[in-house]
Amino acid sequence: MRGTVTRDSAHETQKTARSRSLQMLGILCGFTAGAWLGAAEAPTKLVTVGISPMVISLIMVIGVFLARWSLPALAMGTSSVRADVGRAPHLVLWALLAGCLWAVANTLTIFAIRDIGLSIAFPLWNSNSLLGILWGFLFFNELRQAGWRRWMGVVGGAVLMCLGAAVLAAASAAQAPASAHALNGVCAALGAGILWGTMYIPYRKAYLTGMNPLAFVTFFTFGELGMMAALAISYTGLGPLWKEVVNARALTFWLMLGGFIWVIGDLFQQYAAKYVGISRGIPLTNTNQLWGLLWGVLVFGELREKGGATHVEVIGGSLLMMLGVGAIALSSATGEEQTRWREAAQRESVRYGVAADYVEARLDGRQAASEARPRRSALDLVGGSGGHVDSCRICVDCPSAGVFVPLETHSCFDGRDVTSAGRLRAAALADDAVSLRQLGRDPVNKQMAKVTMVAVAGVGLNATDTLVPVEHAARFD
Amino acid sequence: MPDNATNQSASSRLVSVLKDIHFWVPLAVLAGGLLLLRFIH
Repeated sequence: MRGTVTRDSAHETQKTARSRSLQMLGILCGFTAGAWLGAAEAPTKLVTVGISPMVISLIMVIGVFLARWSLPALAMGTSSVRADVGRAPHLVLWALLAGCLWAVANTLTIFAIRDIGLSIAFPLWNSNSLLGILWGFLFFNELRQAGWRRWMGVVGGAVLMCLGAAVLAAASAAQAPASAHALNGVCAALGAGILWGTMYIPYRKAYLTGMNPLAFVTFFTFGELGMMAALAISYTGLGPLWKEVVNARALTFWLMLGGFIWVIGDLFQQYAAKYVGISRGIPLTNTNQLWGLLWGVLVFGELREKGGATHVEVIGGSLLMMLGVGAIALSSATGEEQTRWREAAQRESVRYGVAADYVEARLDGRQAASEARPRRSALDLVGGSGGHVDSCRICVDCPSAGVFVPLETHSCFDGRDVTSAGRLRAAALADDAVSLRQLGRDPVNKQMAKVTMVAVAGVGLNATDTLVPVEHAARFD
Repeated sequence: MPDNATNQSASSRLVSVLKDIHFWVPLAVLAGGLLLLRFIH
């Protein structure tokens, strides 16, 4: 009898420790996603390059498409993706829906930036975190029985982040373009925020049901590419669109590479949504604005000629955002709240007839007993390396005269540095996060880790984060 | 027989999807986004 009690108690302790570790992993993934997405979107000055934003977006999404089909195949094998979808085929519909939401939101940001400038548009669409909290609470039992301190931490933190974002926007408002369509721009930015905030409903639904993020994004990208192609054709026309794509061929590789890099940040964002939920995951990934600011100040020398008042606003806004992030990071879900998450997961399991043990195991970040270990076939390696043409090319064609080093890109590919090593150790806590480790071990990525200077500037449209070589950038200035 | 079971399961799954508010909310937001895009373009 005593033995049973001791075993139960040990099991409970182990479960609590695992749950804490997964929460910590989710928070780390949120920060990492913010850093990656921010690194990709930081250089926003080239938004006016002589190519239609719709074409830039489309080419990038093609790069995203390649990455989303190759990375999951390399990390977990197509057999695992198939098995995941076989268990919960209904989620394919949500993945497509989420992809469509992303594409429309991304296109709206193009118009928002055109009409009100990035500095105002960015904080407006970053208000998606508040909507994410609402959806998380209403649909997925997030923050239920969390206690007022955690409520204050998450909601207060998100509000602080929005305030900080608004202060940062005010600091650079002078750079906003004068436009007769300012109202349209505000509507577009808010619309993008609503679409992106709602996009997390499919994310959370998929991860509560147990789907691996790598399997989810494989289908998400069909919605993304399909909707983006439909928008580009309907707004530009097939003939003119083709002409523009051909005209942009000198930048094609770099645009697609931008999409590829963005996918890495997005994957971390997916894991954050999985392990800490959307109410905490979205604000954490929204730290990309801080990273974007750092890129602007340190790389492009923005604010150099601004007065002391602007510097105070920038520092104050950044501090507000960091305070908000800290409050959210310290408000991880308690045991009671996680019990409510499990109830939401069981509801999904019953509604769609997904095996309860599978849902339970995946919620704990491990594999169900009935699941086979991920296996990769020769076909996966062929498909994966095909998608890695981008990564190989960067090693071969890396420009010699570097202007700046995308530190985050370097550090995340480099499994040997302290940050990545810590991240990978954290990832090892969850069987499900094996995929993250495998990404770091991939031989092509290791090869990329040796690249220390990658001379690129970027066209950042939040998720349209487009990298172009500096020599082209200069030409378009 | 297994085909019937599969069809039945697929149709019941479809009914579950159509009854699921998690499906309609994102769909409505997507429709709104497309309308907004048409309006501002």
